[in-house]
Amino acid sequence: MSRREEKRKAYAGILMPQKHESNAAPPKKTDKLCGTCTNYSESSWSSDGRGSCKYLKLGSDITQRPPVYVFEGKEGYLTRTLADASTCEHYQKMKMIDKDGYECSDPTFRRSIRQFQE
Amino acid sequence: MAKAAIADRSVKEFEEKQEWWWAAEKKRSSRLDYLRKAIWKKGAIGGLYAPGVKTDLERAVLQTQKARELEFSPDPYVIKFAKMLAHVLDNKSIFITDHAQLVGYTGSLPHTIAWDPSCASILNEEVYNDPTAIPDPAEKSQQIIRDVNNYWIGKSDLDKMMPIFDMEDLMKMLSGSIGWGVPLARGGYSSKDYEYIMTGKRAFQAIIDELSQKIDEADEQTHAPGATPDTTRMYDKINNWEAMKITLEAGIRIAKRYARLAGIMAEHFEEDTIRREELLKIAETCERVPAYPPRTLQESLQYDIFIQMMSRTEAIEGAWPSRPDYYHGPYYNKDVNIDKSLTKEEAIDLLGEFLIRAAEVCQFKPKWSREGLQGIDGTWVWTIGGVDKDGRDACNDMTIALMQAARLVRVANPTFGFRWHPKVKDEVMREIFECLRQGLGYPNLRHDPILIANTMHWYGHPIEEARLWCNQACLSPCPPTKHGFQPMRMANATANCAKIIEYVMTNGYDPVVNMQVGAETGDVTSFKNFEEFFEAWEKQMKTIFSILVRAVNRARTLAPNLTPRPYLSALSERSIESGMDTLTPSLERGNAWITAFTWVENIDSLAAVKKLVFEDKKYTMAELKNAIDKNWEGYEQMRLDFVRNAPKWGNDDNYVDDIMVRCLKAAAKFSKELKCPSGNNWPILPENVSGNIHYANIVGALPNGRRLGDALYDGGISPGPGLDKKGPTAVLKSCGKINHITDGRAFLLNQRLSPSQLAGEKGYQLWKAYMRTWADLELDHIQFNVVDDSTLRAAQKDPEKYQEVIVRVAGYSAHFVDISRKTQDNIIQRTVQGLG
Repeated sequence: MSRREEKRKAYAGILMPQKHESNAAPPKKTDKLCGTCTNYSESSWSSDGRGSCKYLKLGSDITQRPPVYVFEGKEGYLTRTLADASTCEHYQKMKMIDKDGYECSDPTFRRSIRQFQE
Repeated sequence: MAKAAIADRSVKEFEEKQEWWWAAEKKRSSRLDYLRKAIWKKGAIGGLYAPGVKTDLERAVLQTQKARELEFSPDPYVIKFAKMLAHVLDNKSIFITDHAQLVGYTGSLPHTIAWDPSCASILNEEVYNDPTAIPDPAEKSQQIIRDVNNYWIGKSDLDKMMPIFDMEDLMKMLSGSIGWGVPLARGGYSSKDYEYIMTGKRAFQAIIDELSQKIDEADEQTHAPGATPDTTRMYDKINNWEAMKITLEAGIRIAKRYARLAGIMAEHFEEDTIRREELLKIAETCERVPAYPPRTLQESLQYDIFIQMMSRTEAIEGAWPSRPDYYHGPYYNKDVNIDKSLTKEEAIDLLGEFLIRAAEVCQFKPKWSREGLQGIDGTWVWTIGGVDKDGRDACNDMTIALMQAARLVRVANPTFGFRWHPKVKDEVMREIFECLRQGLGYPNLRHDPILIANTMHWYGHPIEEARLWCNQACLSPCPPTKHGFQPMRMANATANCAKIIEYVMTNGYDPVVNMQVGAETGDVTSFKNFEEFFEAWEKQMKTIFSILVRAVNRARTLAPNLTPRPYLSALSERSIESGMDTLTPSLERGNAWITAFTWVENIDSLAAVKKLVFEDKKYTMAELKNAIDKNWEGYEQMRLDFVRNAPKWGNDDNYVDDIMVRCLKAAAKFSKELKCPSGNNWPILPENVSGNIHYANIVGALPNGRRLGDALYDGGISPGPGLDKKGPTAVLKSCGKINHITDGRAFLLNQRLSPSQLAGEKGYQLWKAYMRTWADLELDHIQFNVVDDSTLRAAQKDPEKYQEVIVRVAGYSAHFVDISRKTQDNIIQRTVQGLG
């Protein structure tokens, strides 16, 4: 596989938003989301829920059973704020904060999810 | 303040206390007062829309409905798109605000923000994920949004573009660490061919007639004996012309709907005879424009609003390029001075309302945009003053009237950029000064001779066209002419330049977004001297600029076919003539630029490294790298050394000023190697808007002593807040070492002056002397904040009482209460310069 093909494959899932299930039941609630993990970094370009993991590297896949962990490489594993991280062994829950939502100087990468109540 | 308290105090009392907003409220007419208070605050407060403001679902539903209907129609995309646009214009709800004389709004109701679902699925996801702006009942709205979003996945402009971009560049761009904006033909800053449509020679109907003739001629040609490649190309031209025609016809139809509404209101619902006459006048105006050229000031302003409203139906516009005194001035003169059909006060009322109509315009923008433009929807920096195509002073009575109207309505957007030149009369300078003294933060001042020369230097625009320039965005001149106007400045070519120096320290790896974004310039601890360090800086600069420019070049090249702009084309002489979409690069001369956010951090950091590491050898590079990797935690004394004891830009100190000039010259040289699809250059334009706050948590620790999370400098070539310690003339002298023609496109300079010092005639003379120095040093830009710390601090404590205090952020103005606390603090921290 060429370098370009490898990258394209690795990025494919993150490029397009996923379709919403119009009349489906709400997704099963989990208290372990990538967005609530200290290792998660939100993309600063968009607030549509994209981000990357500071711990797992590109090639990882926590949706697999068992999850695939890659620790080598420079680029972080691309994931989403609301991705289910319940099977990820490296999940570390961050602290929530009480902050004015109109302020955009959140000290940790503007993550609005930090304002959720516990 | 309670109504009674305002009524009890005189204008003079308010002016003496410099409470200009209350004075304005008392001075303006009751109509203007009503209209000013009737608008909804649309600019985001910090990063979120104000309570009560809701996303407009109507337009999204209409557009999706038509798109579904046309999905399997045999029409080419450009015609389908024009039909979608027409469907929205034909069916959107319209309203007329009480007491208004001008009509037209982007949304379906006054409190709504228009949402265009066809631009980008990621934007649509933000609409879905922004609960503060979802209309009630939320569940029903979410269902509608889900349905709309599902349709546009894979079909929106950006979705179509992304797979054809270079994947590696795309991911770096999407990280949001180095760029700000999208490479889209329908999301950015559209300039327009005002010389074609705003000079009174033609309007929509004349263009439609010309298009019909062109289509008939082309059709005849394609059916005549013979077949050549020209014949084949003719089919595409016919499609483009037909699409243009569809949009203009829809534009006339929606104006006539307003005319009908005004007529019905006058005939059946209005009891007040004066208001009835006004409504009938609106009806007459909307029957006339945009179909036919305006005859009066009201028609001229209404024509402009329709043009902009339709443009905002076709695209998400981040700017409102305009030269109102130049294009509307003749109508003002005719109505007020020649025909005397309007008194000066009535004309100012109309102009005030024109500013209010522009201030309320809003389209749903992503959060990065809202954070970078806190308090406003986009940068409507209207250009006034300047010269005409023959170089004569273009200031007129309307230039003055606009500034007087601005002081009465005190909107933060639009603002004015004044083109200063040596022939500007004192009465005009006094009006500018009065706006500044009254704390509007605008007009900013632009050095016209320098900018005309700059426009010719970078793009080769002929002098007659360069002299007609108006701002395409905050402070970027663009001639509104046939081949001079740039149809879309894609905001993606906005570089977060502090990353250049950060990547020198990290070998190009971005520790915030976990990605190798910059070039691998080597382990910084292995650099033996400043030259090696600077060489790495240059390579990082070139790498970042190239990623952004490549994306824009790619998008501009794909745009005419993939994401055409039939309406913008219909207003463009070159498209009418050629039958090609106005985005076609070969039709324009090129007017591209890279906006350089967070530029000065590089200069202060380079100076600090040169002085403290390589020359004084007070610290090793390894120690510096270690401290920066730890975000200076545990190294506070060392950090303060880098803040206090290294030379800082803005103090007339050649040590650091030479570094600034060297960096700019390196960038300018590279700007000529980068080429836009029209074959022209990509000069840099240092400025910031409020990107210094947006990027505060994205840029890591830097050698100038900054920590992750600290606000970045306020931008352009403005010195770091509080770091310019040698007075205002030293700032100007530092900036004067830059060649403002050849070293870059334009250079933003923020200055804060003390309101008490600007009082009375003495204050004016002090400011004028300061401006003489500015002009003599040939700086291209300067803007002022003239609000004292005590007022700003009081506004922080009691925002309700200070709702109308305006500040100049950077490239635009905002109401102080609408910007985040961090931005407020950053403005207060700026050095207040004493003049004289």
